[in-house]
Amino acid sequence: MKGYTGKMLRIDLSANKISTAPSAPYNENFIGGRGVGASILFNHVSPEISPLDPKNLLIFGTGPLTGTAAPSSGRLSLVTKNVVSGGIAYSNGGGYFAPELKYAGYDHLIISGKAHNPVYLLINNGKVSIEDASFIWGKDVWETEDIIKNRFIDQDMQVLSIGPAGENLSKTACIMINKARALGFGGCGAVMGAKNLKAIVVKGEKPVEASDPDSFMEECQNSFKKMEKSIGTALLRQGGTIAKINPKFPLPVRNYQDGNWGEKALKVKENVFKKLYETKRSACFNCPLSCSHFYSIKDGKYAGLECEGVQINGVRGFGSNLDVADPAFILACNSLCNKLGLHIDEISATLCWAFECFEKKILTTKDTDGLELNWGNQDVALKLIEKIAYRNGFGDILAEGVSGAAKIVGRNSQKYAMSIKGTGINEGGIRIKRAWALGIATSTRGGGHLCGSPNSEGVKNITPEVGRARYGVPTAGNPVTYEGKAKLVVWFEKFKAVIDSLGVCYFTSYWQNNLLGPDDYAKLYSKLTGRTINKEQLFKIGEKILNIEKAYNTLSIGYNREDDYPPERFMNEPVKSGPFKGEYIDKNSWNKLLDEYYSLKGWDVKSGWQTDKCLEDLELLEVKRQLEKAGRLIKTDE
Amino acid sequence: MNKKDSKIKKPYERPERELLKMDISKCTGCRSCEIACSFHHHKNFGLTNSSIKIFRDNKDGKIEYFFNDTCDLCENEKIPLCVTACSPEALCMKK
Repeated sequence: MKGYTGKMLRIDLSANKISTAPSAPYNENFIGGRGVGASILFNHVSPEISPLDPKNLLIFGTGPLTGTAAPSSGRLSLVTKNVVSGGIAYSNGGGYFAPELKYAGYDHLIISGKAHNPVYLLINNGKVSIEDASFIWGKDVWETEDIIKNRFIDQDMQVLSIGPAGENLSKTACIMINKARALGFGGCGAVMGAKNLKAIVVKGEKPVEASDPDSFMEECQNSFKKMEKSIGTALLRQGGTIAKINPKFPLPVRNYQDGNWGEKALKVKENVFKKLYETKRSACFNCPLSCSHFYSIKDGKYAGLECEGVQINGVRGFGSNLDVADPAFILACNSLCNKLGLHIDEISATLCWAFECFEKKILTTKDTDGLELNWGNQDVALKLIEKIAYRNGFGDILAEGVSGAAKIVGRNSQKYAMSIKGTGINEGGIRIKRAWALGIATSTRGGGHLCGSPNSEGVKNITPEVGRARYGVPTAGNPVTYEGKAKLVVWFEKFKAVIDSLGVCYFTSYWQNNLLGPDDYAKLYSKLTGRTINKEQLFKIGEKILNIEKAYNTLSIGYNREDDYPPERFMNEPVKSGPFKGEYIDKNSWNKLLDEYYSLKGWDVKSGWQTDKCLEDLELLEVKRQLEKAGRLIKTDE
Repeated sequence: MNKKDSKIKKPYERPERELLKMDISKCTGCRSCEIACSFHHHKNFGLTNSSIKIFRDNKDGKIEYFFNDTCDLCENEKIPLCVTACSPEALCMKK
């Protein structure tokens, strides 16, 4: 099929063996990227093994649209067993690595085993080798990329690597692409570290072919034109996701003790970053949005820092939730995480928890290597980030992530660990936007709003008419109502699974208030591959992917309905101030929302587990068989 | 891959083609121009066969660009495809 290379590259680091296999059977069933990754993980990684076991796989994947003229076609998917939640992890990152992998001739790259010594993988078109990495082991992500590029005197090769955090098996470790793009979730950096794999370097020269090049190009150009007319495009160009911030925008404060930061938000708005530090706008591969930016700090405490970033998660995690209204500090934290290879969501959740525990005197200087974790202390926050990456002193506990650290510390500190399925969360508006919260709570990778959470709640142009036309949910733009929100999450989680499998960026789509919807992607896919597909068929594949992920979680950990609740704080402590003062998640309403969500999915309402009927309808018979064998399949009465 | 093999051969010439103008302060490094160029020449999507080449420094975002002599300003097109594809309007035709 056109649009694919038709090959997957398999690397067994234990046996030092390199091979290829056809990728078509997987691509035909699951599109690419995340879908193919989920299927391979389910079939080849036992739910019983530890995520750091050499038998765990790192499954990197491109999609059919990756590397083509489709908007934002530079996305790389990663699927692996999740170090933090114990279930499945999927992550999706931008930059320029994914197209290069595809041009090198591979749709997917599957890494198994564990190298005897630190190595890196060199992919130069069809020539692949496993190389000694002793010269980069111990180096940070930025140094690693520079050293590799200088070694080959080649600025045109793409580098993906882990930093010290991954080497030291910190559960907060991520994998970095092009210095500032992250495959963040699930402690995947630690999986790579456990395999003694420091970096992957790729260069490719084989173009992607389309079934009907002229017609596909025309469709790509139409998509670009649609984006030019979109509200989301204008906003993202203005200041990335930070452009949304204003005093009324819900932001978490001091580990979610409040959900409103008021006027302080003005100090970290996009215009402040722009005025003080921005040097350039930047974009990932073939992306018209340019939601990223380069910064340079000339004066003050952080003078000399040059970096790419920062998005709204950085502002939430290191700004409002640590209660520091200093854009330079946010850039310093964000870039330190990028350098050390740390996932900013898990890091901020862990730091915020530690600071609150110190405030509540659960932690004292005896626990923290003498550091005083007082809100607003910038030096201590930066010191802790470094300690986590190197597992130094108190950092060794924090490196377990927020729920792992709370478990070790005990002393009722779990109450302040803001996590879903063990995964730290870095969210705004969780007490306010019902579908946003439901998407986070039911996410198959454990937390995070990039699974089923819609971005439509509270957005002005999502009127009842727009909500009905796009999602069949007139209330899609209304944040606080529970009505219709389960249906909205079911729609978005399928859409996201499809987008992640196609190899494009979610920001180009309806999700970020842009004008590309499922029909547009169906057209792009059909014209590229020559296989005609429609929205319904794409969504069915999306639902299959989600069910495989769900089943993998059920088999690995037994996650059930109880695990789909938000942390107690969001149900017991209302927002204290601001325009949404008094809002919280009502437990009875949440129960009804979950009932509705499971019913729409065809899952068992009582347990939250999958049913035989649902899996038969989706033709996932092996998934059904595995769940049945484990006694975790619910039989429906005919 | 040894150093010699991997060293970029630079067939690219500066400055820009006579009629194409590039403003690197606007360029976001997205490489849409390279993709469009690949399509123009070969009806496929890649980076190696393009007449234009963009390098982005991942530390500070600085852009370097090169044209080579295969650029024909997209014969048969009203406007060269790289110009049409350039969302930040860094590439344009000289007036």
